Parts: sequence; C-alpha cells; structure tokens
Amino acid sequence: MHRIRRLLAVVPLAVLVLLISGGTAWAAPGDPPVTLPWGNRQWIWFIAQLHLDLAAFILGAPIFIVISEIIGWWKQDTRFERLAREMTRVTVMAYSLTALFGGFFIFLLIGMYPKVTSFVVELYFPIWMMLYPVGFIIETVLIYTYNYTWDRWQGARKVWHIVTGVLLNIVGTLIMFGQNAIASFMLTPIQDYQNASLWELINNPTWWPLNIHRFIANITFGGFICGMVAAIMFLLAKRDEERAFYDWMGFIGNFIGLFSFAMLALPGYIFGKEIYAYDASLGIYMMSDRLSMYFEMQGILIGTSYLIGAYYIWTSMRRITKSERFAPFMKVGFGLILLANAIWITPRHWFATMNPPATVENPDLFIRLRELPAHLGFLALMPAKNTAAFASILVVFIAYVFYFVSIRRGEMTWGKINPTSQFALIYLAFAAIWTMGLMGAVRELARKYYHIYLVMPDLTNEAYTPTLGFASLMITLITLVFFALIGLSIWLGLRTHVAEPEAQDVSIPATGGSHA
Amino acid sequence: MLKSFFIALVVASAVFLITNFIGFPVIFSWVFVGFVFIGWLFLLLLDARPMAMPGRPLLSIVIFFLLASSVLFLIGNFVPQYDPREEIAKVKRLQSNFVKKELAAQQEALQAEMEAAGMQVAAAQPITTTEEATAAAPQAPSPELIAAGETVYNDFECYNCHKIGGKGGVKRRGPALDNVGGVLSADLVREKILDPTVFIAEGFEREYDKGVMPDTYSVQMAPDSVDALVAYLMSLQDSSVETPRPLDPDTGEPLQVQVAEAAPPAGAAEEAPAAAPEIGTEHMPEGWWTDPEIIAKGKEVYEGVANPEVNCSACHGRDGKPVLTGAADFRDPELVAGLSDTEWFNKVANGVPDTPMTAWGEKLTVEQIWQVIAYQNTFHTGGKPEVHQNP
Repeated sequence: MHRIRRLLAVVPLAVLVLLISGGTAWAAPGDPPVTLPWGNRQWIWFIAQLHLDLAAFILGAPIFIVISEIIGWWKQDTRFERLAREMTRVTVMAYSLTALFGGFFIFLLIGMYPKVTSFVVELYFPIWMMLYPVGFIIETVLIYTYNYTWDRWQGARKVWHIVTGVLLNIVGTLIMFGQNAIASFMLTPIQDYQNASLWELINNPTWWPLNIHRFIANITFGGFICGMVAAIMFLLAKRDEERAFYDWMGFIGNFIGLFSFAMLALPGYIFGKEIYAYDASLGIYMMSDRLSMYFEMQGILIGTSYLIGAYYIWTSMRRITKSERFAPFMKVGFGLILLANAIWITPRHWFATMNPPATVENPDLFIRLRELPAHLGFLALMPAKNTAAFASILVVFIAYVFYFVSIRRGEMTWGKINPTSQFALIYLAFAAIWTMGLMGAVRELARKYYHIYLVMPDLTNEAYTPTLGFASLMITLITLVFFALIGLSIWLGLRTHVAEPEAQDVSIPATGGSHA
Repeated sequence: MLKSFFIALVVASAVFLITNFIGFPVIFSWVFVGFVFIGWLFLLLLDARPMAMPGRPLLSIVIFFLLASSVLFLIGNFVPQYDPREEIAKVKRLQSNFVKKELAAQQEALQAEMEAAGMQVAAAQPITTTEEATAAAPQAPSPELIAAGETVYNDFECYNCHKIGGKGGVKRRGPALDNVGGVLSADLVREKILDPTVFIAEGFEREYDKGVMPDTYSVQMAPDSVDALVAYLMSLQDSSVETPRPLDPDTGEPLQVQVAEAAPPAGAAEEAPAAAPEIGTEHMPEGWWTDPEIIAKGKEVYEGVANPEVNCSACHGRDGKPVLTGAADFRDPELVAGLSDTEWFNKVANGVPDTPMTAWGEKLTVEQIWQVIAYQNTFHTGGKPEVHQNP
C-alpha cells in the first residue's frame, strides 16, 4: 500500500517531464492530427472537467484543512487536528490524480486543438508555460512536505507546519488565478489583444469575478467533500468512537460547505452581470436562449441542496434533547424553501430557445401555452430569483440558530444520528460536483461557436451547443468517475490508515455539546 | 399517511386552480402541483422513524450514487430540449459566414500589399455564393435576399433585444423593428449594425448610454450577411407599429433621414413580374443611355456602393482614368464607341480572358450591368449623358 502511495507521489513530476517533451513535439499549428471516436469535444470535455473537479477539491480542501489545523492547535482540540490530518491524506491522493488528468488534458488539447492551443500559449506563455509548471513544482513540494512532516513538526515546530500549509494555499490560489486568466479571456477577450500587455490580457472583464467565484466555490466544494468523506467513513465505521468522530467531522464539513455556499450567490451574480456588460448577447444566450434550461437544472440542484442541507440540520437536531419545540418552525422553513425553489425554477417559458422552434406550426398558440403572461413575467426576472435565493439562505441560517440554541440547553451524543443524514451529506457533495460540471459546461458553451469569443471561431463539426439531455449524460458520467476516484483516494488515504496509532489517539468523547 | 396524502391532494388541487385563475399557463400549474407532492414526500421523510445502519454500507453508498445519477440524468432529459439539427445547421451557416469574412479580409490585405509593392493587381475574386450575390442591389432586394437576411437576423440572435411581429426581446433592450424600413435609410441601418454609436433610437437613450447594442457585428458578419440583413430590415415597413426615430448622439435632435421608397415585400417580385419591362442581354433598354436615374444607379454600381464586392473604380478609376496598368480608359471615345452595347455587356458579364477583367455576371443583375454601362458611357463626354454611338 505504501508503495502505491509513493508511486502516486512521483506522478506530478513525471507528468511535467512528459508535458515538456510531448508538448514541444505537438505544438506546431495545423489541422487537428487526430479525431477520436466518440468525438474530440466529448473527450476534451470529459477530461478537462474531471481535471477541474479534482483541482477544485485539492485547492478547496487545503483552505479549511489549514483553518482546522490552526483551530486545533489554538484550542488544543485533537478533533480538528485529526480532521485536518485525514483530509490531507485524501487530498494528497487526489493531488496526484489531478496532475495525471491535467497532463492528459494538455496532451489532448495539443493533439486535437493545436491551433487554439498555440494561440493561447503565444499570448499567455509566462502564465501557462512558466507560472503553471513552476507553481506546480512548488505546490508539489509543499503538499508533500505538509503531509509527510505532520507528525515530525509538532510542538514548537507546529507553527512551521502551519506556515507550510498557508504557503500551499497561496501557491495553489495563484496557480488557479493564472489559469482563470486564460479561461476568462476565452469568454471575454479584450478587444485589442494583439497590442495588449500581459497584465491587460490577464485582467480581462471576467477575470476577477471568476477568481472570487471559484475561490469561494472551492471552499464550498471542499466542505461538502469533507462531509461526504466523513459520511462514507461513518457508514463504514465499526466502532462507536469512529462514528462519533466522523459524525462530528461531517457536521463541520457541512457547516463550512453551507456557509460558503450561501456566500456563493453574490459572486455568481456579479460574474453573470459582467458577462452581460461585456456582451449582452452572451448573457441572453445563457439565461434566455439555448442555455436557459441549463439554468433550470442549476435551480433544481441549488434548491435541493438547500433543502437537503436543512434536512441534515433537522436530523442533527433530532438527537438533541429539548429540541422538539423548534420542529414546527423548522417545518415551516422547509415549506419556505420549497416555495423559494418553485419561484427559482419558474422560467419565462417552458421551451429551450428564445423563440419557438421553426417547425412549430402555430407559434402564437405555442407561446400562449408555455410562456408566462406579461403580468406574471416578473417571476422570471432576477429580483424574484434573488429573493428566492435569499429566502433559502435565511431559512438555513435560522435552522442553524435553532441548532445552536438547542445544543446549549440540551444534550446530544455524537455518533447517534439517523443514518439518512449521512446520505444527505453524500447528496450535497454529489449535487455540488454535478453543479460544477453543469456550470463549467455553461461557461464553455456560452462562447457559442467560438474557441475564443469573437477572436477564434470553432470551425469543427462539434461547435454547436448540445442539448441539456446530452450534457446531463456527460456530467453524470464525469461525476461518477470523479466519485470513483475520490473513493479510491479515501481508500488509499484513510482506510489503509485505520490501524495507525494516531487514529485512536485523537478519538473524541462520544458525548458533548461543543463544536469548535 | 393516507390522511396526509389527501391533505396534499386538496392543497395541490387548490394550487392548480388558483395558479390557473391568476393566469399561469397549465404547464406551470402542473409544476407547482409537483412541488406540493414533493413537499408531502419531504414531510413524510421528516417524520419517518430513523433508519437502521445499512448492513452493507458500501453497496448502499454505490446504489445511492447510481440513484442520484439516474434522477439528475432523467431531469436533464425531462425538461424541454431543442432540436440539435437546427442548432447544427445554424452553426454551419455562421461558420460559413466567418470563413467568407476571413477570406475577404485576407484577400483585401494581400491586394493592399501587392499595390504597395507596385505590382499589377488582379481584380478581386469575390467570395460569395451565386445565390447570395445575385440579389445584392439595394434598390430592389430579391425575396431570396430578404429571406437570407431573416436567417441572418435569427442566426445572430437580433431577436434577443428586438421585437418583430411582437416576438423576441423579453426585456426592454432595443426597439421593435416592425417599421424600421419606414423610418431609416438602408445606409443608416447598415451603419447602425456595424457601429451602434452612430445614432440613438428615440426612447432608448439609457440603453444607448449603457452600450447595450453589441458593437461586435463588424467583426462577426461577412459583408454579404450585412447586405442581406439590411435588405431584410428595409423590407419591414409596418407603420402600425411604432419604431423610434434616430437621434443625433451629440445634439439629441432627430436625424434628417432620406427614407427609401417602400421596398416591395418578400415575394412581391414573384407576384408581379409582368409589370416590369423585360430587360434582355442584347441591347440597352430603351431610354437608359440618357436616363439620369439609371446613370445614378450605374454610378453606385461602378463605385462599389451598390455591392461592395464589385468596384469598377478600383481599376478603372473614379473618373474613368485607369489606376491599373492595362485597364480600359473610359475617357477614350474611340474605345467606348468601338464596341457595341452587346459587346460591352459581354465584357462586363463574362470578363476578358487572360486579363484581370473578371466576369461580374454572377455578382450583378442584368439591370445593374446595363446601369453601369450607361454610367461608363458618360466619362468620354465629360459627364454629359449621350446615346451610345455604336448601338
């Protein structure tokens, strides 16, 4: 087992060497030298999104790992120390996989889309060909140092370990910001890009919105994945002490996930607003035309996430004595979330294009049967959606208030929780990764038939916007493979460690009300 | 459970009736009813007894993943979809538009380089399809051109912000275009498409200041797409719908617009072809040699105004004095009178082999060829229209 872990540890560097040698060989522009079965776009979509999902995890998880470590060190609470330790083990495994898929992604990009790759490399050479690999090397050194010095850098050296963790986060964030520059440029390139400085290329209209949105989303994602890891370990645990710890860990992961999830709405809104400001036709294409049903799906996913998140708090409260008095209020809250969901997913019209399809014989009747009348049209506009989102956030917030009030007055036992709560945690992680896949697709497809909007068109046969049905298939497959890989990381990182001494040393008392 | 189900049924019925009453289409009402039943199921889950720890946790987790995947996949397929074939056809047209635009730009750049190097420049090979080019004349756009323009309008999603016939433009972003052909000239429409700052649509001052109209169509649209779009927009002359006047961005005063005569609606040419005089390729139509209107139209063709892809003055000079070595000098009476009208028609329509003179027959209508010949005939007379001396 240790051999497998060591093998995975050298993977990122091996990928870098391959990238440099292989990349040079394929970098010459020209027609795509390969056309893979099932379509080039599907391949690049699958691998790129998988890489992004893993990257989001390895960037998001260390943020709250370090925060947990600091809290544990500050309060001398071994639970936080153990949470951070265990999540680090999973993250290190996922890190290697991220590197592998990142390498695969770039190989495919160079092989299948050499022109656009060369074009981007030429513009962003210092970012993509210098900062990215150098940052990657530094991050590799830091993450393995952070993981392998955990036991050695305790006591007086603990501060160095924490500093390493903080540096790890800074470097990871910088790498992400660098890559965000390219991703945002492809959607909103500056007009005079030929004569622009590197900073002007980086600081394009959607770079900062994307940075902020992804930064917070990564924390959300890391929190939900932490909750899911805890849930899986809870369900697989054989001893009450283990269940007590993983129950607590799931609660913390979910708390961080939901808290940052609530903050995600505003940056997402700003991101969308910037896209509208850049070119309203892009925003309309997303919200009212070909991608409008993608946003229906987003509404369903986010709505159910709030609902299931609140359900998890409900199950958490059910194990606390004297919490029954809040139950009726909580039920009203669930009703409110459902109402907010219903408003959120109410579209302007129930068809997937701006205007009725050309094949419709009676467009007026078609519209009358499927479109909101003028006096109800406000339900499809952003003020209504924002109100619905705010209502859901408020209900979850109040649910947590009920929870913390209950825990001050009642008694609870960690590990004694309805197992359905653990499936709620798993769903939240599942919905988060599905949403990431969905919104990643939206960001890419919003460029319509351009590789780089208005700069480089996509002249391949696959330049059209696929239906949501097809996208759902892609996203579902990606999500399942992602969870299979995370499952592998959990198995390698945690299940093979259960017999090690620290696992027992940091177990927590099964009863108590303290959280942090 | 049965009791709660009946309560849910009553609530769902009430929701259905109320939402219908206040004007929701029935499909929305059904969705709201669905929410009621989801709420009912959720309440059952809240009050359910805690489940036992699963005996096979790993299997339970895997089954849960597969179940969640299936549900999301089904929802993704259940919501309305569009026909991908329509989308593919649209993207093909847009790709073709882009390729033509790129080739035209490359050709122009190459031509400029050759001219700068003092090399003889071959007449540009226009890059448009026969069907698209035959109807480039702005004065009488063909039904095909107008239809092509409507496709351009849809492909470039102008309907996102504008309404025609009450359709399009969910939010108030741009004016209705039903009578755009009645209040604007073709030139102004073209300028507005390529540069949205050229004028303000009255009543849309706020949108103008915010730069709502994308300024990217000059980058995105090939010239022939712009021609077609202009032809389509100019065909919209429904005066029952108010289309705002253009205002000067500097003064805010209405612009003086010379509105074109009402263009025939799409299909009108087919409906009334017999009314037009028959124009053949043998001889100049009666009276056209000296008709000022025909000569004016010929000037537009000659100078590339009527069709930017055909510009005789690029080689023969704006005043008939050639700017390209070897090009015919239209100021020379002997040369002009040395050929009959039929011979001139053939030269323009079919080109001159082994010379840069290209066959313009695919780019110009028969009428346009006669118009340009009538105009060409004025250079050797100092601009005074005369009947051709070699009819």
